[in-house]
Amino acid sequence: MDFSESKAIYQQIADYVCEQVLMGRWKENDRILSVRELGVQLEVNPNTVLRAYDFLQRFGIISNRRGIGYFASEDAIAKIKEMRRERFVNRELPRIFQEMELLGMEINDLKEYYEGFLKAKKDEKDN
Amino acid sequence: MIEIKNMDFRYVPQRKIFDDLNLSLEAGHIYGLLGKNGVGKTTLLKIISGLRFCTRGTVSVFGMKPEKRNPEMLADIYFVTEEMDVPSVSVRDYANIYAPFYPNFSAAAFEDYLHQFEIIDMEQKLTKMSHGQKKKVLVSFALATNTKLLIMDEPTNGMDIPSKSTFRKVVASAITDDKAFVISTHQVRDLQNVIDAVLVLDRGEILLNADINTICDRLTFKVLSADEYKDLSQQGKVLYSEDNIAGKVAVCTHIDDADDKFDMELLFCAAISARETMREIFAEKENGKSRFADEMETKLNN
Amino acid sequence: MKNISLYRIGLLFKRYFCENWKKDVIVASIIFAVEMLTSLNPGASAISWIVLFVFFILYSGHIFGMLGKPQRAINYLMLPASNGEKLTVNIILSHFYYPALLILASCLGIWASSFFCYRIYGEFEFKTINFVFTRGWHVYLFLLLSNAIMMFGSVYFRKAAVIKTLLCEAAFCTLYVIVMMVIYFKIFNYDTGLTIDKIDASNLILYIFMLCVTAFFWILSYFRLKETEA
Repeated sequence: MDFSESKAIYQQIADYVCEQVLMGRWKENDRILSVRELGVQLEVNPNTVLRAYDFLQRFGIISNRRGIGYFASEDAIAKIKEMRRERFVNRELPRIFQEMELLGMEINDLKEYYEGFLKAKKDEKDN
Repeated sequence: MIEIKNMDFRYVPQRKIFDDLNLSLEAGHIYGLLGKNGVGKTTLLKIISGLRFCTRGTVSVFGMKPEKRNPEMLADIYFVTEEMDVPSVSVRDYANIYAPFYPNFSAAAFEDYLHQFEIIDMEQKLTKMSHGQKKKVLVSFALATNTKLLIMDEPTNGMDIPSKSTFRKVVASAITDDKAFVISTHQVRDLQNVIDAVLVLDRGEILLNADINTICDRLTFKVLSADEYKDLSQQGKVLYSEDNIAGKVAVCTHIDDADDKFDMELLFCAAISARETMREIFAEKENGKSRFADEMETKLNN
Repeated sequence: MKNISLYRIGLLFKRYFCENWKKDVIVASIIFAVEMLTSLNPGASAISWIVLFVFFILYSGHIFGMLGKPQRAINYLMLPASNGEKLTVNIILSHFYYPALLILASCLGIWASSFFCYRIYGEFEFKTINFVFTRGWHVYLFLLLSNAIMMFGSVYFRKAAVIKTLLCEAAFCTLYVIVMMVIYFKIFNYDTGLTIDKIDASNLILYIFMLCVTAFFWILSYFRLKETEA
């Protein structure tokens, strides 16, 4: 895995785990890779993976069953979406609003683009 | 695991290499030892391994004095040097000869690591191998000895690009809670994701010894726009900055909510250019482990 | 010298033989060939004795040769065995194993040539190298002592140890002879009756003295090895 320059490694590992669950590669309620296994796979220190797992555990996305390993929670997907929404609202949106302010755009201007996006997606589906 | 207190070292009387150096290493970490050329990284590693004797102070490795070169201690240390001198024997014979010296050696792990490094021919003579290949064999052997302390001096030097990736994999798989790896390197980009604690050696002392979580809690690595840079430097928060295509990449004191990627090269530059600030940042808050505070206190008392 | 484990000593021997058996076999073969040829000429026994002696000196003088090369020194010093064990192994190798190997090789050479003579001329003479069986303990003790000195030289000097040790020995012997001459001639006014007979008379003292000096050099080597840095 190539790590991007702009995010802490443990964050990127957490994102990677979430991605695996969202894409269905790792199923809810299933055991996920151990700290060491994921460390080896991503060529990252196991302690960093541990930090990512701690982080995910705090959000209830994964849980640690003592002596067995880490498992994706029953409602992992819902929790991931919740976490992402929170992050989007708290992190990305302010940035977008700032940029809009800078460019003198109104919230209604966005509507047009959003509708365009939905339409393009629908067309793609129909084809 | 390793305690060094008030250690001085000099090769010649006039020139001190280490001056009142203090260092404590714990199991469970992969330490990256950083420092400029000629600052004594290899010498420090040699002192820990009992190959050099300090002029003053105490060095303790697993509670033993390394200069005694106790066989029990040596059986729990492996040192992969930068340059290598190998006997004229095959890979298999090398393992047969040297493995019995290390009680925790795992032959299966050795073969597995060699396999990962794509060294298949066990009958090949070590002396006939290229520098990079020898290094792969020795690193595999070193990891397979399962010693409590594994020291590697510039291990990725001479390795090709795929091997560096393999190196990170095998190191990540071999570290356990009862072992410590110390890797001295200039190839920071090769290794920064497997290292989880940083030692900066500068002007005869350990300027920084902190794990990466602590570093990320106390410092922020960020790309700053011109305005942000101006703001932050007026607040005295910028420790070090470099110009970059996107503006300035800077090391600042911790900014909440900034989760940017830790950059070891920047950290190193920040440490040696803003020595005192760095020392304060890692001294005052670390009350639990008060080695920095102790150091400051003794300095003030003197 | 606490910390001696037979297991680790065994491992050190294994290491030595695995890495060096070829060299030793080659040298033994050379000695075998040389002895086989020179033993045909009765006057050459002195030469073979000198050749052997030179080999012993070179070997003992290189026994700690790895300390002269930084990387090898590190590997050697980091080997998990105590200084005492490493020294013990090297004493056995340089003082006993190597002389035994070469003497055996030269005896075999001589016997082989005797055997060929028998096949050709029909007369068999069971010869051995002269010095071993005619000179007795002197030779062994002298060998031990010179090996001990050369071994100490190889730990002490690390680089170009043989030459340096021999120079030191030569200087020491010269000094010793001068001092002795002064003592004998000036102070006690002895006549020149200092002969081999007189030394033979005090054989026992001489043996003990040589053994003590040998042990002394072993101890020196131990401390020197202990203090060796790399």
